[in-house]
Amino acid sequence: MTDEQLACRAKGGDHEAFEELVRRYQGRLLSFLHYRTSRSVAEDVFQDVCVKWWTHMNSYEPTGRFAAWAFTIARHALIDFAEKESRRTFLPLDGAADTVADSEPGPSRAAESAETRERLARALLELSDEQREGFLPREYGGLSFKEIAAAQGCPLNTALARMRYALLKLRGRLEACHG
Amino acid sequence: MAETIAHEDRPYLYHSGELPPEDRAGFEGHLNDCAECRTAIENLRWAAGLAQAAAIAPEPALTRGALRRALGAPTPSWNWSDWARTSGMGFGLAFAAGLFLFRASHPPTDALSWRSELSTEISELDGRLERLDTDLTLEAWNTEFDEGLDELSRSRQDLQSQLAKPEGV
Repeated sequence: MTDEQLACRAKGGDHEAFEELVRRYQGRLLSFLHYRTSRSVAEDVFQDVCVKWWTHMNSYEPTGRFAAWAFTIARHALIDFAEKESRRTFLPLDGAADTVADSEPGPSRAAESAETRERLARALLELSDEQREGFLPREYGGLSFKEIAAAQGCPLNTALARMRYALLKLRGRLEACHG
Repeated sequence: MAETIAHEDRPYLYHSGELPPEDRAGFEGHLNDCAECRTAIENLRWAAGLAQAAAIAPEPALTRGALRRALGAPTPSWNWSDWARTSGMGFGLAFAAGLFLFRASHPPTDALSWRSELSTEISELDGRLERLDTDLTLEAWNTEFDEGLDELSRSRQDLQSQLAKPEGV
């Protein structure tokens, strides 16, 4: 069953369909949130977003992609949270990746994943807000560039340029660290 | 009108599946000859791999807690905005009904209607005064008439008593 079919069932009040959607999106959602804020804030907002998905399910239009709808809500939830806190909580705290539960078995693999997360988190710090806003929804939300442009309120070629520069910067930074 | 796609944007749209179907085959042929586009595609694949390697899986307890909170909230068919809309209409109707009943039991007391009511009352009082005046006049006439009648009656009695006396007395 597609995400959109599940979302339609959830819209009609089907708890099981909603649970399935959350399970499908939980990793992507937490990653999307975590690379823009601290782990503890990401977990708080993760719960808020799940509540908002459920309570706002009526606003989901079956003609649209569930991912675009879901990550628009997630993005707004994070902005709301930052405004409530009256400070920019975006971007990771040192060592945030160390506390992350790893789905990969084996100590060496887990250490490798933690290191990758740490390096990505640090490299993301060097991107502009707009570049990060392009990279994270694309890679974790699975949003198309048209959807990202719509979410950012910018022309498609601007969203594409931001992604292009984000990738060049990230790759340059990470390969320099690795080298 | 179709948007013109810049050369450097084409690999991104191709990778995300957004390149129009009629352009895909042409672009795949172009990749063989364009190192710049091949690098862009390679960067996109690298980013996807990186994102996957750095993805974070939530603790099962976090997801369970989130689901418990979400499903304990109002259901999609009865969310807060619906509640606010419905209750807003309800409050509006109740307020309108209350206002109607209040107006019915309490006549309007604004300045304009108050002046109008006072004018009517003054007119009514004027009418009553005129009627009283007329009544008093009539009463005075009645009293005068009665007195005249009494006097005439007395004179009549006097005349009758004189008539009743024998002649020569």
